[in-house]
Amino acid sequence: MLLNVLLGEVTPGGVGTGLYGILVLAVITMFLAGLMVGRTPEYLGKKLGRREVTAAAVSILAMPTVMLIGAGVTAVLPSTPDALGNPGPHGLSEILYAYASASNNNGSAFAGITVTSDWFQASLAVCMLLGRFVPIVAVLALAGSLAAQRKVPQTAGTLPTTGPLFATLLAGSVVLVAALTFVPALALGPVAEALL
Amino acid sequence: MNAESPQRTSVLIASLPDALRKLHPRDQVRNPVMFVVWVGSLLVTVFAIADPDVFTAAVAAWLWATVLFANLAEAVAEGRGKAQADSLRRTRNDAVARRLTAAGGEERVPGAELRVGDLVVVEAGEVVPGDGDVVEGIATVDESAITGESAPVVRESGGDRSAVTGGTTVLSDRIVVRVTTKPGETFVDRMIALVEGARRQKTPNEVALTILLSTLTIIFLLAVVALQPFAVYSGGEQSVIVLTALLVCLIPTTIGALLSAIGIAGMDRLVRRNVLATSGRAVEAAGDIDTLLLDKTGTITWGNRRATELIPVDGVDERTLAEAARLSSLADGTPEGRSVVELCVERYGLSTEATGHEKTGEFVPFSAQTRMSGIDLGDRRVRKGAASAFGIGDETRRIVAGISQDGGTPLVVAENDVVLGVIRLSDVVKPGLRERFAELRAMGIRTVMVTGDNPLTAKAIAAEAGVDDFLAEAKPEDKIALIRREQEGGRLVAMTGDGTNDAPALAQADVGVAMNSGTSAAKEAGNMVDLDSDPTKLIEIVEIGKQLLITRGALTTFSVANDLAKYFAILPAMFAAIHPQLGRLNVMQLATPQSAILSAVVFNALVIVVLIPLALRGVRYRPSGASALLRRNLLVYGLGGVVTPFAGIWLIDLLVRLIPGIG
Repeated sequence: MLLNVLLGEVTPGGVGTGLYGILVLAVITMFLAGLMVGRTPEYLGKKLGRREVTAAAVSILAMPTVMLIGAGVTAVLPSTPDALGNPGPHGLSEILYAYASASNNNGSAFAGITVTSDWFQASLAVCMLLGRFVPIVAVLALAGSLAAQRKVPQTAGTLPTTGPLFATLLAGSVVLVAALTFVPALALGPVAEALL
Repeated sequence: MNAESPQRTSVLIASLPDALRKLHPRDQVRNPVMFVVWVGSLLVTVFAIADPDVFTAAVAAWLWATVLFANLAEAVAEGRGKAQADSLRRTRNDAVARRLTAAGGEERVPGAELRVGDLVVVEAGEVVPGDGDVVEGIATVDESAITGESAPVVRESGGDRSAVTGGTTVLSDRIVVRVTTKPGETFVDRMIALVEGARRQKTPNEVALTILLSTLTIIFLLAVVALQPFAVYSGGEQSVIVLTALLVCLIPTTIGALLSAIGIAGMDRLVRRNVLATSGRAVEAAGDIDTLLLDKTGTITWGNRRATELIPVDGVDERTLAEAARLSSLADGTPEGRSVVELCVERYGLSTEATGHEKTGEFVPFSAQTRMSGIDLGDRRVRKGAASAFGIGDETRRIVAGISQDGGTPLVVAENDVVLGVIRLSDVVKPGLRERFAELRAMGIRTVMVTGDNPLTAKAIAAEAGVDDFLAEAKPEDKIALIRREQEGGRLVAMTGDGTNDAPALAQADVGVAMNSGTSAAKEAGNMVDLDSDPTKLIEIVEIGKQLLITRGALTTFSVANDLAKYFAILPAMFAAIHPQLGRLNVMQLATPQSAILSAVVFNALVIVVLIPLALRGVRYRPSGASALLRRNLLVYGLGGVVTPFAGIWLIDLLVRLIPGIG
């Protein structure tokens, strides 16, 4: 479940942000794939230039930024251990889940963690605000920039965005971008827990 | 390893001083990824000095090596251009120009004082003082200083061969040149700036990729910085050295280090093929081309028509005609004449060389009055020439008309005023073009042939060459209209041209390749100049553009895919002390936490050096559809990028564990 939330809500059934999440990652995927076939990258007939990549980048950056900073500060606050229901790796999992969920999901928390202190209330609220609205603004900017472009006609040199190859590639970048961001933190929490 | 290796090693060593100079923060800050490594190296060095131990010193050394190797890649790429710039600079004239004064006299001024519009006289043995157009006279010019081609070329006033380049040498005759560029902005000056990379600006795709790489860097910076509080919480605070090592390994240093080298090398590959691009943007656009406009004459067909058929008339034996045709052309040095002899040799088994007897014949050259040429051999008077020059009968007239209608040129052969038959001269499609057009089609590029021929002839040649479309009876304005039409559909168009007529179309096209033999107007209008004046080179230019993008994409994929193995090396090493169960993730069985971290850092640095040749050469490019290309590159650079570091780090660890204090 935590893994799912961290992967950025792209699997179906998320809380409303799945489609744009995967579209942003599709933009990044097509950018790399486009380069690899030797053309200026394009997605759905729209060229991916500096502006589009910047918007996608901001959108991707927002969630990990607020989540990691929030969870990081929380982990070292002296008041934190009292709020946690469990010590050790599971406690860390609780913190990570709380911030991940606030930044990107429905704001729920594991049983055991008490998030009623002023710090938790304030920081989780900021996470919710920035983790949600910054990507929304960035995605709107991306959409605006793409919509303003003229469509490029398809040729044999155009990379198709259907079929198993594209699906694999997209899945790969979703896992890679998310995994590479959160693996260090996860290693100390859930992974250490699982391997216990 | 191959024979080039020793040479390559010496190039690396020769570029070392430049690489060291680039350690200056002013240079580093231009590349965000490497700047982070640079700051990290400085940080670890401070710790290494404050609290020396083997591990810290080794990490510091290898972090600096990472930065150095990145500089080395750029220095090697630039070094290739520098050598070329030096040899060009030598040709830059400090010669004295003979300027014509308004009074009609002549004055000697230094080449650097010439102004646009000045008229200068250049005679045999003198160097052309600046770029310009010949306004008077005709001369042979040695352009080897610029093009590397030793055969002299003819430059004459008027027409499409009037441009001369400063720094070239006039071999014969006397010409008057009107200067068209200011000193310091001449072709040679621009060329020097170009190959030195002095005016190198990031191309649009390079900018977008840099943003993506910076984003990844920021994400990893966050991930690593946030790791410390979690580690503190878990009771295993990490040293700054370990965290820096992790950060450097995770950020895309491989592509970050090689990015500028790839761009410089791409330009260099063009220069090596004697193509000068005015900007990197043009090279990149070449990779995106959707439609290629190709002139028929000189590009798709040989510039000269060739004999393709002998048609006898009035019951004349075909072989008799062939013998007469050969005889009439033996002493004819024109390409058409030679092609007649070749046809007779190929198809009728006649001899190429003149026999002793035939050598006694007297050559009758072509003249505008007689409109025929041939040979007088004893009492035989063999001639070939335009149909109107002979008294021809009905059958011959019909054949001649038929050949003309097909777009060919008929040449009548006669002996002692008796017509024997007709030679058909026609356009011959260059060999191998059909395959190249098929490759282009596979790449998604449409080829359009442009010709002044009538639609019927154009259609026949288009079908033979295998182009996708043709524009017949084309006037210059038709060409521009065609380009505009294609561009309105969102397509990028490339074309070649040499005449002043072509200039507007060259300017309109997204990639306009001007021939060096063409006018200065054409060269100004285009965004590339082909020094060899070979129009088919456009195809190579497209391939170089694509290769440039593919190399960037492939190395980025490789770089990011590498991170997986680095996590498996470093994370267990960092936290095995707090959570021993994480030791199970140590799949490479690295000896100690220190050796694991150091091995990852060493691999990260060495992989840059290993990939320098690939970055300079470009990844292999085979024309094929997008999906096939992606599948192949993903397999090689994606999967390869996941697997290689596992093997590499494991191997390096076997050595590193031998160092006392680490293993």
